Amino acid sequence: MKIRYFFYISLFLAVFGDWIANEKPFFCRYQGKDYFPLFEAPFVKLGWKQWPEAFQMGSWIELQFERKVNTLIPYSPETIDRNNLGLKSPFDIQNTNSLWSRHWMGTDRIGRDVLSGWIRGFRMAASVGFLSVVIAGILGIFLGGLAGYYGNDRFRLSLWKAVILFILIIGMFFWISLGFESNWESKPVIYWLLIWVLLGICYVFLPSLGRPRMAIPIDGFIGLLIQAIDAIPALFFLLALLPLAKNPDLLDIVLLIAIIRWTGIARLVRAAFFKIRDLEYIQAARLLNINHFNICWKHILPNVMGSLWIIFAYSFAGAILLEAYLGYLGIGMPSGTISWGSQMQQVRETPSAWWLAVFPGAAIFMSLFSLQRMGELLETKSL
Amino acid sequence: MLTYLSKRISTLILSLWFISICLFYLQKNVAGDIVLLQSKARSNGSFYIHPLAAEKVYGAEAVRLNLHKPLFYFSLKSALFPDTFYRIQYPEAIKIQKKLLFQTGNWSLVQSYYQSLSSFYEKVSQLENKRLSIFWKERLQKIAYLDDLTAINANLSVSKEMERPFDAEIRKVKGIINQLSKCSPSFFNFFPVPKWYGFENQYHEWFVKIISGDFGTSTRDGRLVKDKLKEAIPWTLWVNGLAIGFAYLFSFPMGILMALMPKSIWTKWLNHFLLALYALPAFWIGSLLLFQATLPGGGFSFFSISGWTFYQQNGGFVNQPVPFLLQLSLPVFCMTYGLAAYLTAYMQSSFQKVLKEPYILYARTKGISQFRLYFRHVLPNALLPQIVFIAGVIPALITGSVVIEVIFNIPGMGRLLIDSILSQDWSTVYTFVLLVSCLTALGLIVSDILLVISDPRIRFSSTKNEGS
Repeated sequence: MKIRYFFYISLFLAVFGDWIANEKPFFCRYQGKDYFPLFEAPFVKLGWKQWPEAFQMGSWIELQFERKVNTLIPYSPETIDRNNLGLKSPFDIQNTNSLWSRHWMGTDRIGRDVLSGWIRGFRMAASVGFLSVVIAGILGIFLGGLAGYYGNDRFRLSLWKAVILFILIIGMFFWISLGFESNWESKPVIYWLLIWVLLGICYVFLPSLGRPRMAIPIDGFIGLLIQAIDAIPALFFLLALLPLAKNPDLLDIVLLIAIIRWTGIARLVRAAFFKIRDLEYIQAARLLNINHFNICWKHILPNVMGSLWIIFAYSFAGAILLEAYLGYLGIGMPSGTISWGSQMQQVRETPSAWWLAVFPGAAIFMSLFSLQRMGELLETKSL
Repeated sequence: MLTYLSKRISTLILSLWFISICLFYLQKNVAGDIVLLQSKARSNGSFYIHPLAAEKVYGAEAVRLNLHKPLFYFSLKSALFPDTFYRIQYPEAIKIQKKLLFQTGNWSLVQSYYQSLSSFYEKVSQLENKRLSIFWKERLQKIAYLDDLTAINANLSVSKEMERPFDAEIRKVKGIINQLSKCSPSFFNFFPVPKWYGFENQYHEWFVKIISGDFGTSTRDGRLVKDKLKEAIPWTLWVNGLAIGFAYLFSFPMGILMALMPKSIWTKWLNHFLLALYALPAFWIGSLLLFQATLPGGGFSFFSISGWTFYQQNGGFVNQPVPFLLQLSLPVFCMTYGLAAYLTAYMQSSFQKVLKEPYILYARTKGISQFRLYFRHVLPNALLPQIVFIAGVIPALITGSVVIEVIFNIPGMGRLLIDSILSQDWSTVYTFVLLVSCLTALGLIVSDILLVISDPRIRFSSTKNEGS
């Protein structure tokens, strides 16, 4: 498994990227005083430490120091190098002092270093992929498990409990709309919340009078939801939902990707739960009076995890690709975000800037390839 | 089989209906105030109405655009809202009246407060004295945006000289405010009351229009959405159709060959290569190819970057088939290779799976010819999963073709979508998304039908609850 090393390198770059590529030097001597800007920056931000004015005003690369020790790449992803504006290729004659401060992957149109942006891209891809997979995993396992475990006919309620459940669901919508229309702290909203909570307590703790006869088709509802989301192609879904957030930030994008991606996980979990719930050991567990949650959590889910890791790997890859699409199209990404996709965006206008396409694209390819390879390896292992 | 299919189709239609509701609400929420936008566009951006005179101007415009109806078939609102609350059109007025309503809980008083303010404004606007009328207009505008009763009262009291011409009106408004400040909502005012509006609502009209093929006009350039789609669809069909065709053409023989020699070193390497090919992002390869095509001596002389409009105007395939296909070659290549790689691996694995079945062993022992074994007994069974796969491919392809069309500037559906989003033409965007999801759903149904026809196991076991 050689792709393991790619993951190690990516993880290292994602975590320590800011210490590898940063305009702030490790150490510098300015006007006779010693500073450690890279490590002091967070303290200065919190107001615990003071810096000379020049540090806060100008850009670091233009400051004159008596002595300094730079990071490996002396540019932050956002640093604008005014000496190398306008798409300097890696092989061009660059207007830099030394070999150390050369732009090894060139610069983009406004003079930002491509290499340090490329390193930032690892963090972007990793965080978008990881967070969206986690959220999609939680959603998918929960809803898919519900649908698979109860199916259409196993979740039965007595009549009055079903009525209370119905009121609870409608009441939740009503309460939320009331809160948005008036004010979350206003009295009626709080009254309604209290009533809702009381009803919920009634639902949970009061005995079900009479025989549980009403079957709630949980599988039907969730299946409908899955079908509806799957009917819309992923990118279209993303592009249609993005304008809802007026100024989308990265978390919005992560959430939207998760909303798209949970259906695949839910399908798998549903099918597996559906198969496992009738096996003998589950029936035995039920005879031992283990509650439903523990049956699902401790006895069914561990058996599904093997195939879940595979789909997590593929979902991770899918999330990275979707994020790259968004950055490339320039829609929805918050302005100033630097990721592989947004680096490639400039190629759309100037196709001749090959270095803006080659390096980020190679990184996307490598991450997709390694994730898919990992999924495949897991698949063969689990068979 | 029929029960299975009918169940499947009915749930699909239900989910499409669900999607259409969601998209309608999205459109309403995202698009912003269409009336204001259009009025602004018509008066070159300098559109202003006094909040108290707005209801008339705005209401008329809203009726013209069919926005004066309730949003949906029913609603669930607090009891303190009147039946006809949706008739108020001006958004600011809705906001303020809602706030007053939540504070006081008395609709008739709020209504009469607003009416008395409006009549006050009318009287002010008839006034000859310019200084006075400007002063009161500004003052009333300020008051109309206030929801704090004491602040309203304070704003109404000015110098005697200013108040004199409108003594009666001010007294009336102050009286109503006095009454309002005594009111407070009781708990039962917030009881949810369901209301049924019937079929005279905005969603119903929108939906019926779309069902009957009238997609409306674009809010940006006023062109029919239908015309825009008609121009765009052939391009997307060309690119996607060619990509699917080539991918299957490549992957079937390749997959079968690889399945027949599982131990060859070629197969092993090809498998690695295919996985890498599948992971290659098409938009990356696309941009690199485009870079190569822009080089003067790059070897892509057959591809002209600005050539699409030429083919768009001159009939494309019909008039110049060869240059047209050459022009399409780069985007089609970008879309084909990933799909082909995936399909080859898929074909290979399904072929191998069938080869391991016991009935193949039996056929071998019976001594039938290799050719007959592979093409009569293995291939039909190996093709089965491929059929189902086509439907799953289509949405992924449409997603991929968005980016490819943007890169190569093809005036297809994806480019139309991106352009509409960038120019905030939301009616086009959401109609479009609905259409694409309908197409996808149709593809899913078709693949289901094909599957049911080809696989008797599904045909006969369909009455049971399907597990996967």
